[in-house]
Amino acid sequence: MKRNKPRSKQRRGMPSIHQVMVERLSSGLRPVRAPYAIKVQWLLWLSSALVLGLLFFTKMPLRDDLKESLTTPAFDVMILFIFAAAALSGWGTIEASIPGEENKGKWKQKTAATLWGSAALIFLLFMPCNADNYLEHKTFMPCLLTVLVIGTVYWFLLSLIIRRNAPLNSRRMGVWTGLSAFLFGLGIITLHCGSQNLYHVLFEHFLPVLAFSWLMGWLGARWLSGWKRKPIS
Amino acid sequence: MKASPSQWQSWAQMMKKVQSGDEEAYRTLLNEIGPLLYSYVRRRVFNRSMVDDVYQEVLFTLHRARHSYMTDRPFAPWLFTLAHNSFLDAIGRNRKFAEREVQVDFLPEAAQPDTKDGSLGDDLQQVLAQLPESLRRPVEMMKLEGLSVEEAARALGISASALKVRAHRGYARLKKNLLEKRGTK
Repeated sequence: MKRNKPRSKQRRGMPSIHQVMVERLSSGLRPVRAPYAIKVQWLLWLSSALVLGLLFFTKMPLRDDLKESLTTPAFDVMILFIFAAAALSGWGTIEASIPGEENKGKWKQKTAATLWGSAALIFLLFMPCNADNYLEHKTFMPCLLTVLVIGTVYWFLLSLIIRRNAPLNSRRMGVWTGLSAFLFGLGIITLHCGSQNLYHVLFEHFLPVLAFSWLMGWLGARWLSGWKRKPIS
Repeated sequence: MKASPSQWQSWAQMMKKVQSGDEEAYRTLLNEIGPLLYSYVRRRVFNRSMVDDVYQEVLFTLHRARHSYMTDRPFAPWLFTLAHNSFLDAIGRNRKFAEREVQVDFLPEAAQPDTKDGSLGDDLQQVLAQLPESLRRPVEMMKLEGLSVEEAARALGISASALKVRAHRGYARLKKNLLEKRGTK
C-alpha cells in the first residue's frame, strides 16, 4: 500500500518548534494590504495637514500684521523654515516607520531640528522683538495651549498614517511624529499670534515644540506599538 | 549561513504572494528563511534554553509585520531589522522577568528515602550501628526521629551545646566509616 508522504517533515538542524510555528502561522493566512509608497503617504500627510490648517484658520484669525510681516524677508524665511521642517520631519517619520528604513529618516529629523533652531535664531536676531514683562503679556498661556491642541490633533493624524507601517521603536517614533506635528502647530501659531515679546514667542511658540514632542514619546510608546500586540489569528 | 541574491529576490516575490494570502507560499518562505533566522538567533542568544523562545518570538513578529513589507524594497533589511528588534524585545522581556524572580541561596531540604522501601541503606545501618551509643543516639534522634536540638538534649539529659558537639562528632565518624566501608567493597 502506498503511504502518503507527510505534509511537513522535520527540517535538519531546526528545532521542533519551527514546524509547529510554520503550520500555525500559515494555516488560515489572511491577505494584508501592503503599505502605500512613502511619497504617497507623505503627500497624504501634507494634504491632510493643509486641510487641517485651513480648518484651524476658520476658527482663529490670522495675525493683524501678516501682510506687513510677509514683506519682511526674515519673517518669510522663518515661516519657510518652520513649514519646511514640519514637512521634512513628517517625511522622515513616515520613512522610519517602515522596518528596514529607520536610518534613512535620521538626517531628515536632524535637518528639521536645525531648521527649527535657525527659525528661532532668525526671530531673535532679525525680527523686531521686545523683552517686556512676560507675565503681563495679554496672550499669556493661550498660545501654549493652542500649540498643544493643534499639535496633538496633527500628532494623531500622522500617527494614524504611520501606525499601519509597523514602527519598531515606538517611543522614538512618537517623538519624531511629535516634532512634525508641533512644528505645524508652531507654523500655525506664528501666522495667528503677532506678539513680538521675546519670552512669549520663545516659551509659548518655539520651546513647546521640543517639550511636547518629547512628551509624545510616552504616548507613542503605547499607541504606536499596538501592532506588536495584535493577536495571531 | 548566507543566501544568494537570487534567493533574496525569490523570497521577495514570495512575500508578495504572502501578502495576498497564499498559504503555500508562506509555508515555503518560512521553511526557507527559517534556518537563516534560527542561526541568526542562535548566534546572539547565549542561553541555549532561550533560543527556541526567541526564535518563536521572531516568527511571530514577522507574521504580525508582514503587511509592512514594501515589495519594491529589498527583502533582507526588512527581515533582519524585524528579527533584530524582536530579538531585543524578547531579551528585554526576559531580563524584566528575571529581575522579578526571587533568588534563594539554598534549596529547601526535601526528605527523600534512601532506598525504595523508605528504610536506611544496609551500609548506613551497619555503620550507624557501629557508632558508640553516646554518638549514635544524637544522630538518630535528630536525623531519623526528627527531634529538635532542645528536645533531643532534654531526652538525653544533656545540654544543647553538648548534644551539638556529640552529633557533629557522630556525623564525622559516620561519614568516615561509610567511606571506608564503600572503599573496601
